Amino acid sequence: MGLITIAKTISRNVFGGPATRRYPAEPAKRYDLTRGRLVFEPENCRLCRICMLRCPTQAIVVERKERTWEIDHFRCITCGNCVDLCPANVLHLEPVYREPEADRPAKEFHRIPEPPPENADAGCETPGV
Amino acid sequence: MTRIVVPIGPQHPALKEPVNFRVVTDGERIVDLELNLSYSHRGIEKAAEQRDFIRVLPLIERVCGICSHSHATVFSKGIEEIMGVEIPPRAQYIRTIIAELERMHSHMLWLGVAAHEVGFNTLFMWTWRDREAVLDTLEELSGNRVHYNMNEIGGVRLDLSPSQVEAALARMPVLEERIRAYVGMVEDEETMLTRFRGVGSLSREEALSFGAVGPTARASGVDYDVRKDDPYLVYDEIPWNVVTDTNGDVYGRTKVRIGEIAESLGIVRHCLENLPGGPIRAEAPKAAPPGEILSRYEAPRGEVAHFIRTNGTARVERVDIRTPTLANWTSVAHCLIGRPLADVPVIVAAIDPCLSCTSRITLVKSGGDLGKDAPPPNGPRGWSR
Amino acid sequence: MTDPFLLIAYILLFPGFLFLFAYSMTFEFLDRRIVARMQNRVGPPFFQPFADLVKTLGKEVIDPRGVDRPIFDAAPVVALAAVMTSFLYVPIIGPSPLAFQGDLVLVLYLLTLPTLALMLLGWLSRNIYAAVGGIRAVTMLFIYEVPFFLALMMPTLMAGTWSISDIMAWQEEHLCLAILQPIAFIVALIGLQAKLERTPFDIPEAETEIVAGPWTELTGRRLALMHLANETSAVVGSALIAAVFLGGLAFPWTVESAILSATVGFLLFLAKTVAILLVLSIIRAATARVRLDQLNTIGWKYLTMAALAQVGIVLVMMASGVGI
Repeated sequence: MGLITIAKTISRNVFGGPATRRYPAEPAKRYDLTRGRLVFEPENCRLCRICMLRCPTQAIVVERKERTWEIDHFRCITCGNCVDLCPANVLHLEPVYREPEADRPAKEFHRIPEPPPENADAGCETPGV
Repeated sequence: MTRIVVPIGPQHPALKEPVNFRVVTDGERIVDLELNLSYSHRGIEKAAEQRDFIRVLPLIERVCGICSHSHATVFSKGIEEIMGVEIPPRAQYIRTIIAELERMHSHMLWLGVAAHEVGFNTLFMWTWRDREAVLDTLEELSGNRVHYNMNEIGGVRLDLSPSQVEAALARMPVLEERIRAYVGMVEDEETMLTRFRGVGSLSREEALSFGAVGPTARASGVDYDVRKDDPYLVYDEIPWNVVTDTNGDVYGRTKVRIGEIAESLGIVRHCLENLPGGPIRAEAPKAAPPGEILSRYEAPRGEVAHFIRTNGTARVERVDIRTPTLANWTSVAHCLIGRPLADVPVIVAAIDPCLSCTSRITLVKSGGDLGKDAPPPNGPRGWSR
Repeated sequence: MTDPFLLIAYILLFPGFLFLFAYSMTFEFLDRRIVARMQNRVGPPFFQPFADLVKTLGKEVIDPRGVDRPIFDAAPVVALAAVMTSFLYVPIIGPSPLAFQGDLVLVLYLLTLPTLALMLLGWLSRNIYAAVGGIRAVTMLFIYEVPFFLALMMPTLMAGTWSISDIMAWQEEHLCLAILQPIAFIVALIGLQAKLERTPFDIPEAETEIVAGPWTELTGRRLALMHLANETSAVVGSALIAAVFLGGLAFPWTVESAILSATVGFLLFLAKTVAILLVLSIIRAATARVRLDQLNTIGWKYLTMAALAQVGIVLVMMASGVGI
C-alpha cells in the first residue's frame, strides 16, 4: 500500500521542519571553489592580454597603450579560464557573488599603475597566439 | 463529434521550453498531432567555428543546461582523439565522476518533473530537495552547480583534494537511502501508477525502428548504452550494469531512470574510492590536425553524438550536434496518437525532452488519421539549421 | 433566537459571513502551510491568503473578446453567494436557528452551484482550455456527486431526520456516525475532496494539461470571488461532514453555563474541521492527479459501490437494532 507509506512519510515531514535555507536570514551555501565573482588586482598586472584573448565571452578588454584593464560583468561567465592562465596571478575567483546590478553594462574599469623603472621590461611579452 | 484543435505551446505550463503541438482531439482523445520545433535556435554550431579550443568549451557546455558536462566531454573526447592525445587516468576518473553525478541530478530532476506533470507535487518537491545534495557535491568539486567547466582539451581543469573526495563520499549514504525510498514510492504509489502504467507504450521493435536512445529505448528492452557498447573514459574498467526494463511505457522509463540513479551512485562511489594518482592533464597541441570524427557519449537522456571536422587550425571547421531528444521525438509523436489529452504532458515528459538543445529541426507529419498500429510517420521532412 | 437583530448578527457577523470569511482564510493558510510542511517547504505566512485576495480584487478585469459580460460577471457572485448561504444551515455554536427539515438537501444543492458556475465560466470564456476544463468539471460532477450524496444520505436514514442540526443532536445520544458508518464517512471525505477539486481530483484545472481550465480567463475580482467561493466551500464541506459524521459540537459531558457550553462546542467544531482538513491535505499531498476516464472507474466501480454497500449495511443494522 503505497498511499499509506507515503502518508506516513508525509506526516513525519509535518513535524520535521522545512528543508529550505532561508537565505537572507541564513548565510548562503558556498564552498572553497564556488565561482562567485572575478576579482582583479591591478598592482601586479603585466598587461600581457592573455585573459582577454582566452576569455570565451570577450568580457575582458585590455588596452596596453592606455594601460587599462576593463571587464563587463554582464558578459563574464566566471568560467575561470583567465584565472588559470594568468601568469602574474592577479586574477582570482571569490566564492561570494556580485551584488545585483541594473545598469547595463556593468563595467569595472582599472588603470594599471606604471611599474617602477627597474623592472619595467619584466614579463611584458605578449605570447604569440 | 466535431474535432477540436488544442494548441499546446509554445508557451504552456506543462512545457519548460518552447515547442508547439497542434493536437487534434476527438473529445478527449488525440487523433492527430503536429509538432513544431525550433523555437529557440541559437546558432551554437556556427558560433563554435569561430572560437579556439580553449574558448569553445564553455560554449559547447552551454548547448544544454542539464547535460552540460556531456557536451563538453563528447567534444573534447573527439578533439583529443583527432590530436592523438591520451588523457591521464586521474583525469578520466574525474570526468567519469562528474558525468555520473550529472546523470544522477538529471534523472532526479526528471523524476520531479514527471511527478509534477501528473500533479504529484510532493514527489516533485522531495526529488528536487534531494537533488540539491548532488548539486552541492558538484559545486564542491567543480565550483559551479550546473556549468562545471571541468574539461579542457587534454584533461580536466581542477584536481580533487582528499578532503573533497571525503566530503563527496559522506553524502552518498543519505542519497542511497533516498533513492531506495523513490524506488518504493514509484512502485507502490497507486495514483501515480495508474498515470504511468500502459501510457506511451513503445514496443522493442518500435523503439528500434524509431531510433529511440537512452532510457526511452532501454525501457523498451533495447540493451543499448554507449558506455557499454562503445566504452569511453573508464566505463570498461569499473563494475556497473546497464539498466533495462521490458514495460516499454512511462512506468518502465521511470524504473530505468531510478535504476540508473542507483547505478550512477555506485560508479561515483567506486571512482571516488579508487581514484588513481598522477597528473590531471596531458600536454595537448594548440592546433588539431585535419580530420573528421564522430564522437559518441551516453548523456543522461541518451546517446549524444558530435560530428567534428578539423582543418589543422586551433578551431573546428564544423561541429554537428545530435542531441538525444532529437532521436526520441518521433517515438513521442507515435505514442501520443490515440491517447487521451491528459496524457500529453506525461508522454512528452517521459523522454525528458531538452528542446533548446534540439532546436535544429522542424518535423512535419503528413496528414491523415494515424491509428495505433499504423506505420510510423514519415521521417523528418524539413530540416532547418 | 427570534430577535431580528440577533438573527442579522448571526447571519452577517458571527458565525455568519464575517466568521466564514475569516475562517476560510485561516483554512486556506492551514491547508497551504500543512501541505508545504509535508513537502518539506516553508509555506506561506499567515496573512498570505488574505493578501492574495486583496491583490486579485484590485487587479484589472479583462474581458475575453466576445464574452457575455453580465453572465461572466454574475457567475462567480452566484457561486460565492450559494456557498455562503449554505453555511447558515450548518451548526457552529449550537443548532442553526434557520434549521428546518431537509436543510441537508439544501446545503448539498447549494454546494453544487459553484461547480455549475465553473462550467458556465468555462463555456463562456471562449477559450479552448476553459471549455475543455468546463466540460471536465461537469463530467466529474456526475461521477462524484452520486456517491457523495449517497454517503451523506446515510445519516439521515439512521437518525430518521433530514436536518443537519437534528442529526447532530441524534449523535449526542448515540455513537457518532463515523464509527457506525465508516464506509460512508470515507466516501464522503473522498467526495468532498473531489468537490473541492483538489489533487487527485483537480482534473478540471489540471495545470500541466489545460493551463487552468475554467479559471484561465478569470481575472481581477472574478478570479478573487471564484477563489473565495472555493475556499468557503472547503469550510462548509468540512463543517458539514464534521456535523453529520463526527457529531459536530456534541460532547458527552454536560457543561453548566450555556455560554461555556457553546464555547466548548465551538472549539470542538474548530478541532473537527481542522482534523478533516488535515485528512484532505494528506490526500492532496500523497496522490497524483488521476485521469478523467480513470476517475470514472474509481467513482462508479468503487465509490458508488461502497456507498451502496453502506446502504445495505445500514438497513440491516436498523432492522436488527444495532447502534440505535
